[in-house]
Amino acid sequence: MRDWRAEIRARLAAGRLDPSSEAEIVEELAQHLEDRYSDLRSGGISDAEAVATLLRELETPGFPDNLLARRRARVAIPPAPIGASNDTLGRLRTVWQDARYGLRSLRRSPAFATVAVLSLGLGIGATTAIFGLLNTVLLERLPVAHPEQLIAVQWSAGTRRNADQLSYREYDALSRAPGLPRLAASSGSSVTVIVRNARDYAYADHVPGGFFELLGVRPLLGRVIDSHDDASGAPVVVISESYWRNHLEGDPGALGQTISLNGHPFTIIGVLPSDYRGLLFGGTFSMATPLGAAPLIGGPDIRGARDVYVSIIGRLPAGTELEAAGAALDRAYRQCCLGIRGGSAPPSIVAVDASRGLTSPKIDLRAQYRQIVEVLMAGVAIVLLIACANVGDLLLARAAARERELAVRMSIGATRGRLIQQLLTESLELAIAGGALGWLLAWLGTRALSHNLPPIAANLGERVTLRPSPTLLAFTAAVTLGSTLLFGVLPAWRATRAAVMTPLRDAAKRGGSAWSLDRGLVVVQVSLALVLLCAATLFVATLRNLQELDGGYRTTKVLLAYVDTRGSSFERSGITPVYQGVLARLSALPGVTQAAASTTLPVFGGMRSMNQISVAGYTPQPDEQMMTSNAAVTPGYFATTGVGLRTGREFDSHDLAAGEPVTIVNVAFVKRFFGGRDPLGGTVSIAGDLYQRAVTMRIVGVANDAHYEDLRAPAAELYYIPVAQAGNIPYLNFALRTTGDPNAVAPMVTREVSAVAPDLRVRRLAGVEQVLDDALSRERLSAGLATLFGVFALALAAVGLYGVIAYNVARRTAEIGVRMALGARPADALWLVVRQTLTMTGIGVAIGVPLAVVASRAVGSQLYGISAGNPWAMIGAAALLATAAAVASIVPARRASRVDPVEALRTE
Amino acid sequence: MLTSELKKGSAEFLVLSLLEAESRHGYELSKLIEQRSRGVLTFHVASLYPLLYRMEERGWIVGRWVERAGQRRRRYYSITREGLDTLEAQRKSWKEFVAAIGSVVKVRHA
Repeated sequence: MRDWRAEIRARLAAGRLDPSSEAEIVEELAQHLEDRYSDLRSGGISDAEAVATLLRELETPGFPDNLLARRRARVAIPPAPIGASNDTLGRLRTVWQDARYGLRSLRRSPAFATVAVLSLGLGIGATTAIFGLLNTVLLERLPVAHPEQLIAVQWSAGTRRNADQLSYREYDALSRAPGLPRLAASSGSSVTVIVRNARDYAYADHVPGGFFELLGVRPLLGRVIDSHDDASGAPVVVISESYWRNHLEGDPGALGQTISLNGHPFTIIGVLPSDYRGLLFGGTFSMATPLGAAPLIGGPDIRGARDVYVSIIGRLPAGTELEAAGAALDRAYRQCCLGIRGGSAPPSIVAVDASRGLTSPKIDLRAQYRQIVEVLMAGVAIVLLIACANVGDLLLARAAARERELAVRMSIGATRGRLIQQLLTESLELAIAGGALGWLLAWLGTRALSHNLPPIAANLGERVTLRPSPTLLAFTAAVTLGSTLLFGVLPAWRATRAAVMTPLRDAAKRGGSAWSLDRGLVVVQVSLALVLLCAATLFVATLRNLQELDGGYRTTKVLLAYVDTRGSSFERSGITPVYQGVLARLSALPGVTQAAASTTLPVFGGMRSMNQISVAGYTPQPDEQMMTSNAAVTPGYFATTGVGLRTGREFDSHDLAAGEPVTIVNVAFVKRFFGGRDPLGGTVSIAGDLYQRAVTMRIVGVANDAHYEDLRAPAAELYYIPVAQAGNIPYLNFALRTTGDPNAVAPMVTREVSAVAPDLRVRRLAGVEQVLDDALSRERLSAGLATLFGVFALALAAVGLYGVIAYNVARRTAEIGVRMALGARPADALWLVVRQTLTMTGIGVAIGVPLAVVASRAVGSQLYGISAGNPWAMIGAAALLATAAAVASIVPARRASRVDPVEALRTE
Repeated sequence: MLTSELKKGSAEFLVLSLLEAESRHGYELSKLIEQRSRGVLTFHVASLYPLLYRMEERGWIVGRWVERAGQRRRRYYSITREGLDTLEAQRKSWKEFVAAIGSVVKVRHA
């Protein structure tokens, strides 16, 4: 007789069961085959034929895998492990077992795993990317040794505080006072550099000896500035690594070579590593010279002058409190320095934390970005919540499908805690995969983001890279873990509770409350998605409103150029001697119809000086602020820029320095100071002071209002004066009306300006469209990211809806089958599903609307031309959600409408 | 011909009802299924034991090795509490289904 045991054993070998269960299976199946063989033989069948029949029967497709799957599953669940895993090794083994079991079970449901990992990847990725931005903008410390010890010493009087309000002499006295932290002052100026016969413009820091030692910045090559260099005013310079690479080809022999700064040779003594970017937040570092050498490059003699101010930083000794150090500095200041400044009310000085860099007194980038980054962070947090709710939904559906499995495992001794641990392990595996995907998405997203930062923050762009810093990794790990708890615990709790309460009972009669939890999660998703969609609508509308805003100037075919004399041989004379030559050459360029210049141009920027004025015939209120801005412009300015005149005339070639002082005022100025009177022929007077002689100007024209700085703010009062009568001006902004694309003229502008004077520097050159685009880059970033988050949220909510509805239809197939057997039409089944979808969406929208109102109020200050809580934004977002919900329910609804009663009931 | 899906669904139903009264071993079950279904359903070793093990995994039946005097030991399957519940539920929905079909058929003929 054939050895049937050997036949079975051979087929099971690949399954690698544990020996005892394999032996049992072999015994049981071999007995069966032996019995069948005897029966066949006694039925008169030959030995050969009987053996052939049995072997054929063993060759059924799926065997023995279908059998092994059952037995292996049993083996993987250790029966009644209570007390068995109390030692560490046992616990570790359990964790390992859970991890492997989880991976196997996820592999068995690839669709579920994919959707879950994608959802989490999007959520975690968006959160990580924005946190990376937040980290750079708000949290990252300067890349120097012990940044937490760095302080800035600032002058303060009442609410005013300024970093640049201490003179060098005050610093000198302070730094000699005993018992204070080490201090170092710095200053800086723009310089024209001639390096290897090429002309370049840079900003040079002026620092005392010991400055870089105090910061803890070590040179990459050579040495840093020491106190001997400073004391002797030696013409030496340290340059940044990027300056070295860009202008000296990274040549190690550059040390000892000279470069010319404003015409004076300076010897390169060191190169600083590229991660040192100076002390300003968002700033750059090019080069530094000794403080004592500043007069060589045309800078003031910092040491001697009373009114030249410096920035002061200091390093606290380890363990010193900031407040204590500040108090000590203030005491020392009162003793040493009140006499230096003389007269006025005594200020005090404070020490502020400089570990994250100083903010420029002119542009507080950090504050500008804080608000926007915080809003973005709130946005991504919502995306992450939606993603977690989504995975929670899927897990609930899956847990319900696995109820029997869980019930069996509990019935053979697994505790509830053990099962929860196992389910959470599976969730954690999902979250880790999602976190890894998220990191990748965040990396890609950050690269995209850093190329789209507004120009004002372009320096940040290269810093906003997603380096795997400990802070960021810790953040991502925390988010991943947090999400696991958020989406995993509730379904695991529910699933195991169902297993305790209703083991192994008929599926159709189970789990009413599992349903409400499912639906609750979808409702949460819908309401959060509504919030993000509303925000996206508001930001996009704001961008569009600002793009369409009439700023009061020509917005096409104008080229703008900013020409500066600072740091050049014209430093002292200013641009006055040369601007007419520049204008003449620029007007003569082919493709240019008209050219004019101004100290300030709409949106392009520039400087408007402010003066106390008085207007003939206008009596100010006792406390009325009469400081008013002015702009110096050349003849033809109003026609070239398109600002235009309402009445009167433009300035012309007769309005010369020696002639009668004239002015043109804008409409806002007329409204405030003239009421109904005719301004033409009236006078505006500037009171004289130390820097400005008293002057009375006759009004010769009224110009239209134009938005100069903030597009959102109404135009302020402004009076224009002729450049010829404005005295010494360091720079002018030129505007050129072109017949075609302004960018085509741009290269010629640089050439023509150099032709007049090679020292003049064209700092910025751009078409007006580009300038307007740049001015709206912050709004564009907000609108773009808000839209992106809105789309994420919508997609995730749609997937969540689809999952819950599809699962519900599958669960209710039997019920729907009976209904249809009893006469319900397919349309009724369809409606059953659609009604449920609409109900969930409706509740979600009802909850989401008040949330959206609150959220949009929080960003209200960033909106323009649309109010927070705009009803159309709400209606639009709700309609979009309803459409997405309808689309998500189409497939399951059609499936429901096609339920075949016979099939449906058989599945029971 | 019966489709394999239908065969599996009805086989579980059959196995449960065969075990309702007494415990049986695998070969006995396969012979009984063949007899009761008048040859429409046949289960060979390669299809029967995966079915039995799955039902066991679900907790509907439980297998035990039983030794009787003078015989080799055999694995006997008996129905569990859950198995009885499932059988009950299946019987009920089967009746509902038949009734539903019946009412549809009646309406048609009226």
